[in-house]
Amino acid sequence: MRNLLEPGHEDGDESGFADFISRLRPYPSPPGFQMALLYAVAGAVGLLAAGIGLAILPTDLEGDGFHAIGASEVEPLLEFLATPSSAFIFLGLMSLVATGIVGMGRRVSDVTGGVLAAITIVGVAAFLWTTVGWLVWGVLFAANLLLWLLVLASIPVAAVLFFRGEAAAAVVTLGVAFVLASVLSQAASGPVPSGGPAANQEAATLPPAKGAESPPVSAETEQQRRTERRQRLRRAGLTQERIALKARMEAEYAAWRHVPFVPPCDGAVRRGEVRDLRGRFADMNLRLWAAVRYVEPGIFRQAAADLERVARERERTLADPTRLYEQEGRCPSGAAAMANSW
Amino acid sequence: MELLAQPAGRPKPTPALARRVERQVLAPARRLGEELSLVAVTEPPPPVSIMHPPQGGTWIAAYHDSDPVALARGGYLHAPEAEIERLTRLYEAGVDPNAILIGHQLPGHWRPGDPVPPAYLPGETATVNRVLAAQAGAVGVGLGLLRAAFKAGAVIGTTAAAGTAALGAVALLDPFVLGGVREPKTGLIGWVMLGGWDEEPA
Repeated sequence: MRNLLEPGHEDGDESGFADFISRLRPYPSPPGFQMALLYAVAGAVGLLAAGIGLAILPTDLEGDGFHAIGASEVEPLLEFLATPSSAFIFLGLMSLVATGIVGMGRRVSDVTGGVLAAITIVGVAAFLWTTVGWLVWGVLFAANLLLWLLVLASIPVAAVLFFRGEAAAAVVTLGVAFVLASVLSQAASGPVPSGGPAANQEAATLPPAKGAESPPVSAETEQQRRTERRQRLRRAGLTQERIALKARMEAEYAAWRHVPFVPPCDGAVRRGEVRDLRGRFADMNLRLWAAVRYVEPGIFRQAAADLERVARERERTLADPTRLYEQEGRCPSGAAAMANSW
Repeated sequence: MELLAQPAGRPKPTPALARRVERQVLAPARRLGEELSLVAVTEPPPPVSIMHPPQGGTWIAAYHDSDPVALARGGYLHAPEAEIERLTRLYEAGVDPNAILIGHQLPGHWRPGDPVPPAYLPGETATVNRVLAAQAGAVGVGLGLLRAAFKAGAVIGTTAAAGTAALGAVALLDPFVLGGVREPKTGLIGWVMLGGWDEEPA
């Protein structure tokens, strides 16, 4: 009953009304609010984890010495799946900030509630996306591992057969194992042997390089040995050159994916061009492998010149995205800039 | 104002009480554009009144400094932020009742000493329920797909579903605030409705 006896604040004292107002507090956040925040944090962390998971997803499997089968087929899919890596990381960080702001405000409206729900949903979707990427890689890895294990397992199998007195079977098993190991090793170390009949046919139709013909065994002289040594050294040099050109191709391919497009060129056209460029680079790489084998330095000069043209086209497009279309009536294209068909 | 046993019809204040109500509450509120009105004239009520209406639930009417609900909630009365700002503006404009009476509606048959359930803003609770349902649904779908792939994750799924299962639909209850102006000669108090809002008990 204190407030009935108190004078009003016109008398200078604190009134009952002022005391009442001082006791007012906003409502606490409703039950489930913290759970909703936790879900959103989990979504943001899921986005970050998905982004990091995609960033470390191995996409360059071809010629890595292990993947003997499926690498060239799965690589484009893995690269496609790994594309949103940076976007996921960025969205994850933004989601953490947004969740923090909503959490500190301790109030939830339709808008903030929608943001929390969206973060969770996108986080789950991103996590699933990354899981698919790693599953694809895992299946390919397991398949290749199985092949290599098959080779390894044939050695004890041959030993068992030998000790059981089946020497012929043991030798055959070992022979098959060695052949398989050789095929796998060649397939895993580069595209030429694993390129199939087409690649082998292409390699077969290549004109043999000057001095690449095998000398007759009976007339092996010191001069021939020096020639062979020189060839080996040139092949080693060309191999280094091929590796450097492959790195340039990959860098150029990655750079073209980020070249902006302006109407009437659109995303679909750009994706088609980038796919085309990738195909041309794959052909170029194949041709370089053959050029190493047959010691054809001229092919390397052509490849380097084409890469230079592709880079110039890209730089010109970056400097003025509309110029090519206005002057030549075509969309910017790395493949179109090449002088050789590969 | 049935809580205060006011006879039906408009309250009939004495001229002196009417002048006091006008001076202390109605005129300052009118300067802010608020048309408050006298809703009851009564004898001074007891510090705490507890009623159990036949339709169920419990009504509590108490002076603000002896309000058992506020005391049970740490001495504070919860109100929407906009309502707190409005009441503060009324105070700053000169509204100065002699007494503040708060009415609470509580679910069930509440008695002094019983726990007072916490209360929340109803709109927020509904929004959080919808958000949680969407989040749990997304997590459930994701876990379902992962389970299909890995045959795992059952524990997390159960935990996620529990978040929404605890939240059920509840009726809205109405706190209200009356400002009382006392006429010294007769002892009668004229009550003006200062505010009211919905809340949702847990």
